[in-house]
Amino acid sequence: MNLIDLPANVPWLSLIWLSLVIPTLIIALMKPEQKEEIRIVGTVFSFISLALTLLVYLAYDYRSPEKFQFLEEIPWLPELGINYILGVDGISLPMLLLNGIVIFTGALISWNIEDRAREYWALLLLLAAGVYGVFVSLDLFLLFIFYELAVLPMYLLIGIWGSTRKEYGAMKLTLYLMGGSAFIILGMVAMYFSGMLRTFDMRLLAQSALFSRDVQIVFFVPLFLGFGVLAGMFPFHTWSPTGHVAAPTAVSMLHAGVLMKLGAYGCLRVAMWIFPEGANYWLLPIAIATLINAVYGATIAMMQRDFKFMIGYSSVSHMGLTLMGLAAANTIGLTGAVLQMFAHGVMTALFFAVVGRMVYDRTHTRQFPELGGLFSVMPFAAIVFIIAGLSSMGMPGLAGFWAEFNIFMGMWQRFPLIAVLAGVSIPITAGYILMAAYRVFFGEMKNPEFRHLPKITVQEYVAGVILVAVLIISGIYPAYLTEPIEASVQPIAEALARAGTLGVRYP
Amino acid sequence: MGWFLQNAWLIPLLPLIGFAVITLTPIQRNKNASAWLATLLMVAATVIALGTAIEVASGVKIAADGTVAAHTEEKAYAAEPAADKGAGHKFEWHDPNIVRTIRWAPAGGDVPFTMGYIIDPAVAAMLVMVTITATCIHLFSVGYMAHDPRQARFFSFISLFTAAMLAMVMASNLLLFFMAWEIMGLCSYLLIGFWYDKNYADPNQITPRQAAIKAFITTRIGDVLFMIGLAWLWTEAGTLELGTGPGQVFNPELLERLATTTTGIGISAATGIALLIFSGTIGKSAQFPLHVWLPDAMEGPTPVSALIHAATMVSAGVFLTARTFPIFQVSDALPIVATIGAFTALFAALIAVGQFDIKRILAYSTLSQLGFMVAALGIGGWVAALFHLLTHAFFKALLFLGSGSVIHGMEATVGHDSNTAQDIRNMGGLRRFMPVTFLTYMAGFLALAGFPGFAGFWSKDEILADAFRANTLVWVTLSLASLLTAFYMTRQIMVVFFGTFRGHHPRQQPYAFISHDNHHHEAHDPHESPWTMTVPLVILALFAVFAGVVNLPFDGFHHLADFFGQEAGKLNLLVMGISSAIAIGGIFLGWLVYRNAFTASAEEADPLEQMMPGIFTVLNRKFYVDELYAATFGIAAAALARIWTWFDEHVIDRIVIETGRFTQFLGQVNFIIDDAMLNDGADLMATGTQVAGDRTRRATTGKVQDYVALAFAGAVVLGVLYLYLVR
Repeated sequence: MNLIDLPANVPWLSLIWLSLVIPTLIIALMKPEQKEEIRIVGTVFSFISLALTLLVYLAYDYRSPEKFQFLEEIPWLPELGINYILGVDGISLPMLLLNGIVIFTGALISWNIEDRAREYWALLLLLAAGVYGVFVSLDLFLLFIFYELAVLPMYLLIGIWGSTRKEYGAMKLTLYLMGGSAFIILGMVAMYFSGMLRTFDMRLLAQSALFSRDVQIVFFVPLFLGFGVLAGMFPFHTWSPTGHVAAPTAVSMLHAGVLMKLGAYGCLRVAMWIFPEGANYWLLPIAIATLINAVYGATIAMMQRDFKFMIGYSSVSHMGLTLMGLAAANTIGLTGAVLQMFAHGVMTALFFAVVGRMVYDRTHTRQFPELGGLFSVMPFAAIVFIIAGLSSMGMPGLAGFWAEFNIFMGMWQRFPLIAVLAGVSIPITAGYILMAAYRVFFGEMKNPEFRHLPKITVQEYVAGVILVAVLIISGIYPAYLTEPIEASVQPIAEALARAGTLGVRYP
Repeated sequence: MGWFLQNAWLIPLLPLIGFAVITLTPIQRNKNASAWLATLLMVAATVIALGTAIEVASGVKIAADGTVAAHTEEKAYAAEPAADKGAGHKFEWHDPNIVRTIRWAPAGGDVPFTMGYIIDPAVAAMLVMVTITATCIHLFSVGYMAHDPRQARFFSFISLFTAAMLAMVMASNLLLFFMAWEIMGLCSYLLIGFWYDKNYADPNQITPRQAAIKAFITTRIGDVLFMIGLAWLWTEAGTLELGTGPGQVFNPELLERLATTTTGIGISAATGIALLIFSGTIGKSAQFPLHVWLPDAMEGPTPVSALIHAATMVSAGVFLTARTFPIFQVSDALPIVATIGAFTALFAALIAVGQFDIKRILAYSTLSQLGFMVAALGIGGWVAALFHLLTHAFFKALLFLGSGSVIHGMEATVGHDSNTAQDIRNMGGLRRFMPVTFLTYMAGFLALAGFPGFAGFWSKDEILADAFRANTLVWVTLSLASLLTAFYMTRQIMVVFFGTFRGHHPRQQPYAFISHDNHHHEAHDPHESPWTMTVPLVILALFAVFAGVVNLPFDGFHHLADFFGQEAGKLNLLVMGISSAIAIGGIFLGWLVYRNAFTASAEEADPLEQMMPGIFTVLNRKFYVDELYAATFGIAAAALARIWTWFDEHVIDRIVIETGRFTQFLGQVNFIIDDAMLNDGADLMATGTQVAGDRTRRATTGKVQDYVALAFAGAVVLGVLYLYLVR
């Protein structure tokens, strides 16, 4: 069902990612002193990209048997089987929308960057353009190129505009992600040569008859791990809290909000889609790793004294739940996983906006013992933080509830014991979120200077309201996300289920 | 006919509108406007709820296609008690009067998640109870919260709470039930912590913001288990719709299958699911061992205690078990339910004897009474449990509001220090100052103590009669708890309303209290509360006195049981006699012990403490359960978190760093190799290149023809490579 019809002869998906490359070029041509103009250009174009994704979202027909729509195919290196193929389905659409929301709100949050604003904005928009590219690519090679495009600006953004051991954080993050990329390349090359088609078109690769069971089992591992590193999978997660903490606010938002989802998206779209039998073989180890992710991340988050580190570890915990939905490998679990990517993306963007921009940029501390009593100074920050926190602990009426509920439902059907154990993370999450709210916003004000903190700016208000509104709308009516998601994950779940029966028959 | 049933969705919607309007519009700047808006919306919801109940009582049924039938035919109920089925009553799920659902979200299979409402007699009774108590409490709050600067926020939260409670009652499936259930938990958190900036001089005393977190997380433990139960049930049934039809959770075939499927841990699936669902009840209805949050929840404003922590939310747990009773019936979980209920009833009643805070006494009493209801369900007394739930909601709300009125009056004398204003030892003789509060409180007291004729007597008696028939141990435990109930309530009444007023010389606090307001209160006597506070007391008092008549144990008077369409409890004069004796005996005992207590000064020790100091201290410290949890789970959780943090920093990160070092080391080795062996070669190569460059330089003739020729040669070479290598 689609609400609007878009003219078919316009390359909508190319427009989406180009809508962030164009302002990068414009900004690069502007003078460094024109900070205000640079900000306006960046914000306007990120809004245009959000509007475009919204149009595409509304025009996508999830009832149609044709899962991939808005296709664009241009031969690029046809001899090598590399083509410029774009298309979206119900899995990539929510991710596109998420990226649009986060880059627009991230742009709003970035208005206080004074140091080398021109380079900052150019890199930020380029990063988001790369993310858009990943989500619209149907060609694996193209996807990988966009993926690298998204990862590389991160190093500079953290290293130059970051805080708290920024060089260390940036280097650690980049090395980890490059390590992940190496795995991905290995998997890609193996996939390319072991299939007979010599193509990178994932729609063709996903016909599982192409690969023998052994190939699938062996080469699923590097692909899943490679993307799993980016998704913060245990034990490859330690880059993520350090990176989040070191990054400037908008980059943290994009990074935890969208970039980690690239990892989970890759796990689903590339590894699980193309190698269903391989996925099926490794489900239990993955499920165990994600269980550790979820509970372990939550417990460590509880112990943090640094506000941003706490959010960083909560991301690890929640991405664990996302991957757990993937490990459930049934329709409801996969739906929950994709929904969790969306819900967590919005929620964590809101977290970082509050912690990094609204609190840290004003108080210049993130240590719990030094904060306190901020509710009376910035009630808006407190309210949006609590709403984001409620979503993260799965409060009905907010997006996180549906995601977590679906994931638990899915995991229960696959490995009930793991679902039960993962339940431990829910009260722990409630615990650290409420304790953080208590320490930062409601406890006694430790520092009397906090009474005279600057007011929340218009851009911060708008960003906060947008993110909260998305959380609430998705919580009340999740079907606008889950209907297309379910329609698209169903074939994958069926392939996984078939692989399961095959695996039983020929052990 | 049927208008109210068709439009019953308005009942939760009206308070929800109140919440949205107060939160989002400038009306919140006007305290009185938001208070009265919320109250009037509740009145409207009450009217619709009453209309719905009347239509249900007159047997209106509306089918899915909208046809209305004034259904009056009497069903023949199975009157044959199975010998081993507890109290001998058979619970049957009857077709509801109306079900309305819409598709909400896909659920992975053919059956989507739906949203909708269902009205049957049990729902109608709950709706009436919730709307009436909520309306009374809203009205009371208009007076009670009048001086609070955050009044608008209070009414916004309490409206959201009421909407969630009503939605939960009407929920057509267990998922919606769970969602509303969680939102109630959230409102409970927000309202317990309503005075978040309140601090106590004693650093060990729990503050509202801490109590809020404690309540939220403790109930959350139960909620997670409940959610797991739902996941299990959903996996087995493929649906969470309430009802007996195909594709609904109480489908006889499904129940049969659940009862016969054995899981890996040796219990049937039905037992497992029932126990997990019951965990939700344990958390929400504050049963042992998750009871610790409810007494501390008294840090919230008193109307909140009355509405959420006495009348509605805590009884939602009981309602959950009652709602999913068909699953419990086919499971082996009921003995566990009965045990936990009976134990909590006695355990909490014992603790209540040793408390001095007027609200905490009532809180433990609530725990105890909820234990009665849970135990009643456990022995199969479904009607008795719901009957007690309804009457208890009215008289406990009354008692809490009465205590609020007392505190309000006390504050005129001792100031706004809750430790002093809520300590019953500082009260005494209040009946002369607050006659309306006193009389209504007496009604609530007699109802709770089970004095013959009052509402609580009839409902408690029905539970005891069922217990007597089903399980002697449960009956003895509950009877002991009733005796203690009568005793501690008499203690409270004697110390608060009789004797001499001691508030002018209150007990010395171990920690000095710093008053926020400088005007001296000592000169004032306590005063009666304004009409907005006394009118709700009077209304609720009427219910406390007369609500029992809806279900008298005499033939032809089982109105409530008939309304529910369930088998009624049987008259048992022996049990009734014993219960009456217990209630009167408990009251007498209380009078005997406390008639001369605290006559001289508020500093005196409690008479019971003088008699048996050791036991009294244990009761006063609530059997040290909080301390036990802190020493076990608290320390274990903190230790685990510390270990894992250490692991993350010192093992995983260490590995990362060492890998980095090792790579650096490899780099060094490579560099040496490179420098010593390859570099010299490269130098040679560089020299060679220079020579070659020199030659090339000579080739750069500047003639266009030469360049074209070179380009052509290059293209040929590339073409050859392409043909041979790529193809």
